[in-house]
Amino acid sequence: MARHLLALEGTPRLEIEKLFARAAAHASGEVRNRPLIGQVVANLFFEPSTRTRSSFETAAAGLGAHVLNWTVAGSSASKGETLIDTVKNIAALGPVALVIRHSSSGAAALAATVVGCAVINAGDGLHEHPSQGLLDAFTLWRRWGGSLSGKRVAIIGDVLHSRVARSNLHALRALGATVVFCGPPTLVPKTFEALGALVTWNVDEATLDADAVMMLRLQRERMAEAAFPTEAEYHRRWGLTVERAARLKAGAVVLHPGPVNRGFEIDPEVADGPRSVILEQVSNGVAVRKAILEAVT
Amino acid sequence: MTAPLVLRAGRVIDPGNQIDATVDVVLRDGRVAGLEKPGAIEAGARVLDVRGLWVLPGLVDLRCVLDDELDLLKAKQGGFTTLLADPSSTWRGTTELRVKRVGALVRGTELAEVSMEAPVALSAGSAPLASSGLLRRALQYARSLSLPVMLHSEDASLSGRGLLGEGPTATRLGLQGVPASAEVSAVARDLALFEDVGGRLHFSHLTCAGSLRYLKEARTAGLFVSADVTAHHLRFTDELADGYSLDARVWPVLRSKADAEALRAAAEVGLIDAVATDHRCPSAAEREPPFDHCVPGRDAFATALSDVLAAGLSALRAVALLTSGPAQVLGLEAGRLAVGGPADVAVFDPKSGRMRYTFVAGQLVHEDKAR
Repeated sequence: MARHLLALEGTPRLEIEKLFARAAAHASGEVRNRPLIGQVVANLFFEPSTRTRSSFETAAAGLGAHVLNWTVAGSSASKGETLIDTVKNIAALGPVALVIRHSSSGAAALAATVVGCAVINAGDGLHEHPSQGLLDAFTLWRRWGGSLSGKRVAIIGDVLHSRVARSNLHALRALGATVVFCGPPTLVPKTFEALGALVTWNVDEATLDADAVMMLRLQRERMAEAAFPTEAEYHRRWGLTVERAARLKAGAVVLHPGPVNRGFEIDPEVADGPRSVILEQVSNGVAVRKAILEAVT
Repeated sequence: MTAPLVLRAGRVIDPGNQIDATVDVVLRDGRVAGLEKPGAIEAGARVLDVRGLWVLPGLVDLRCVLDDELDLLKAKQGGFTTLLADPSSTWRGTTELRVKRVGALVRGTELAEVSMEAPVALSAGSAPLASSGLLRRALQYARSLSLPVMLHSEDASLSGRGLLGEGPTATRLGLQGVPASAEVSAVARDLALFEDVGGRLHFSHLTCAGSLRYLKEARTAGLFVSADVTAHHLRFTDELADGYSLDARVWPVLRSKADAEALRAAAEVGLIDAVATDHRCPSAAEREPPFDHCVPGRDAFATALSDVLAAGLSALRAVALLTSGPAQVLGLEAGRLAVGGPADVAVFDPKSGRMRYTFVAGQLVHEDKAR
């Protein structure tokens, strides 16, 4: 039975910390062996992605695997082949793991039911993006000396359409942190309280006492209708401006899963400023994904 | 004259005649010839021992989509003898079942030409009405035909691309939610238009506690309005979607526990008149996962009665909701075991939750051989 990484919901703290310990070894460069030499890792991206795909590709190559990149352009997905058919065909090529992104919630779990190899969810609809949730939590875990207990993390922006926010909620809570969701009421419904998040529509309340602030990208492609009046108003009311960043607690850090809309959800001075750990997230992403690939294969 | 058939010593539940007793039912020449004390001797009769089983009037369904013979077979397996085919039904043919047609109320943004198939009601299927103006004209026009209008109440600008009732389950699974107000606000609007225009209005497959408030108010005010719910909305909630189970891919969407409880209470006290199946079986290819690509539907005939019972309704009320209730909504001569009336009978096994026999006009059209 192959192991999979499909979601972080319900993942126990010990399992996450074990993965983090291994990721830390990768990040510090002390891992020398390449366990996936001669193996194939298949990237199946039904939705466009540069960051996540490149990160998985780098991680897989670092472990010695050959990476097969399959994207929608030039594929048979446009010819009406079903998700299941496509997944089965790629699996028949014999990869040791499938890294899959799809616009449907539940797509990775569905893929896992029809293939024999490991499936790693690289984002399914509005559901989860577990490797991103892990790398965000890992970034904070390293910063804070191996513990998130009692920490407060504010996640601000389009939470409703964000699989990153859902994965972060589950991972951060499992590690003992408090998660505050904030943004316009149209994008941050109170229903998230039932999942264990604190919900506020007031950004100053969300960031007060926050040990970390994660700004989400506005997923305009997922919004059928405008969820706020103008970009200028969004920036004014929910953006992480220079002024707001200056009021953050000493030592508080700023995260963003990328790609950043500069001057919109976050001011450039903040994205590039001393609190920003955005590039650390990217580097840590490779270490975490190496640990994930090792864990599932 | 053919030999009479005696259904011996079953529990006859016939809410339309306020009967719940152990009785012999005699069928002769396609009609119910008598309800008699168990053990009565009928000269030359064949006897079917139905002890331990429930003998019911043939079930009546207010809403189903019939596309092929398989749908009719499933209806027989579910004990249904009278069906109202939704206007989107493509099946045309002959059957022992009593299939009545619901005509299209609108076509796109205009009134539909009235069907030549002698419809017993008009409906716009499961599509929301394009505008309040269109609905007002449709209600006005239907009055001249003396036909009830069966409405699916939905504000499409609120339901959007939703897949499941808005709530913690939809949020957690990352499935777009449909707010309750998408139905409730439409019910309120529909009642306002109906109060203005008059006629005869029936709400199909209500799902929200909030809709029931408006329905109750309209009833209290004396408006001639009725309503049905589906068996699956009585029995299940949005939590059925856990693990992206396609059983939960139905339209209208499944809702919260509080909503299901409110529907059950309303069905028990009679604010809800009937249970409809909303049976619709898209092709296997259309029912493929993932959840958002799957076409909504439910193979609902066979489980209708057992679902209503599993929801916790009393036996008498559960049977009423599937027999006399729907018949009354449209004034049909069906849904009761009247002496001299049609011998449409369903025999239910409460242990297996399946229909043992279905008779239409005294003719056996289904027998459960899997027992």
